[in-house]
Amino acid sequence: MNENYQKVQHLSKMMKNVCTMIMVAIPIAHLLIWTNFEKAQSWGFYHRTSYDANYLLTSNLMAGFFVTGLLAFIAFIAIFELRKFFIHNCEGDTFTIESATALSRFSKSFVLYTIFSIPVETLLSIAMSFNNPVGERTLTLSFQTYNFTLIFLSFVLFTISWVIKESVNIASENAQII
Amino acid sequence: MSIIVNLDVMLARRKVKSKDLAQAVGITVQNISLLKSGKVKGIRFATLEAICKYLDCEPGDILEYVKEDK
Repeated sequence: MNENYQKVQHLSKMMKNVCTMIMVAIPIAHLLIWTNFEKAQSWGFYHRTSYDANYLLTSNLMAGFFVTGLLAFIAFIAIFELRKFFIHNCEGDTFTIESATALSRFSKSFVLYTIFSIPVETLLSIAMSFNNPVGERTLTLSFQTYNFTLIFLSFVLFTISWVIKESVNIASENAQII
Repeated sequence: MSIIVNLDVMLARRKVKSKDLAQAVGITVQNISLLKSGKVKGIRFATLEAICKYLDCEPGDILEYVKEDK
């Protein structure tokens, strides 16, 4: 029992550090992607976004920066909440209202992220082509299998976290005063 | 414990099911069960008020003090 508890604490501490690194990486990566968009695209970032380099201006990149910034912000909040969840586990607060709330907030942010990623792709196509001549501007609308899978998984995670949160609430209610 | 919970008696008198009381009061059926068996640390005034309101009774009908011999 004690050994398992130590394993939970060790793994949670590791995940907390990973989350911290991701939290630092998100804004830096976001900034680097939009300052070196062509290179970032060759590395696989926003590889589905098509643009014409002849008409690509700073205003396009700025618009792209702000549009995708929304997603980056949601991802940052999600990782922040996940980090809080692991901090609680690290301190031994497993199955407490605080840790359940953190997990629930993470799953909510994840649902938001998956839902917003669809219109953001459309907005990005507009942002990257609004300086193109009339007739060459693009409007991308796509919903692929992986979008559906991601949304489904996020809802599953949300439901699980909700069940955990409610279970913790019931347990604490039972344990104390009615 | 010298405080006896007579909730099961009142439920039987009023012919009310635990499930219905739980729904009316806004607590779980498990908690009603714990309350009936007296396995709780305490009861909130708000819960007591809601129970009394639904069962149309006084707090004294639900809670009873019995002197314990030393």
